[in-house]
Amino acid sequence: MLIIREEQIQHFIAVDDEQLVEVISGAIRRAKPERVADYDDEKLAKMVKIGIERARSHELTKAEDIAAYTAVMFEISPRFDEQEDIRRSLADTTFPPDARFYQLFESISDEAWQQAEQLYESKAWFPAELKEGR
Amino acid sequence: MENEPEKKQSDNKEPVNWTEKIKNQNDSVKKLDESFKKNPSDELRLELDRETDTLRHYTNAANGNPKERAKATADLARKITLDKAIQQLPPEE
Repeated sequence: MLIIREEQIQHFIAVDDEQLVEVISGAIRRAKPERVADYDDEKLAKMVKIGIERARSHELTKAEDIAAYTAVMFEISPRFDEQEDIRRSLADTTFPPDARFYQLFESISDEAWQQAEQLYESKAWFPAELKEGR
Repeated sequence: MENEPEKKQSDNKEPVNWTEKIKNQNDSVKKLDESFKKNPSDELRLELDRETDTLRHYTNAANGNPKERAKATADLARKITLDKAIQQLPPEE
């Protein structure tokens, strides 16, 4: 039986951050085509870099988890992690980081997710320094 | 025209009229786009990007339950990313 180590899986997905941005951008385009239809590859890559940074701030390290986190930023809000209950869950070190993230879909209430969506702010995707290209 | 967070966390009881919000936002984007075409600038481009993203956010949010949408999108993005690794696995002998 073929046994693949986690490290090898990550290497198959992306060998470096540049490739990771490319892979996650592709995943976002496939998962949420209408949401990002206005953006060329360069602009989407800049947004995805913001997502990767945010995901890593919650100690997510695997490419598939970072992609899932970034996708939720596009789906709900780039600031969804600032909602009180979500913030508390993501900071709960009783569980490993990936478990903390995926538990959000089980343990956090509908109301809290609605609040997270209301935290949407376009400046989080487009800070003042991201002026060029459209 | 720059948008602020839509509501405070404690103020989310009223149902959102997405149709109205999308229409108004669409009008804003159209006006901004016309201004940008007449007098392009970095500032207007940034504002146009922000307003266009807000429109896409509203259109997306109108699809319903955010918790269910978040889970579905996270699962799909995760699967697409893992599929890339699976595609590169050597054939099993």
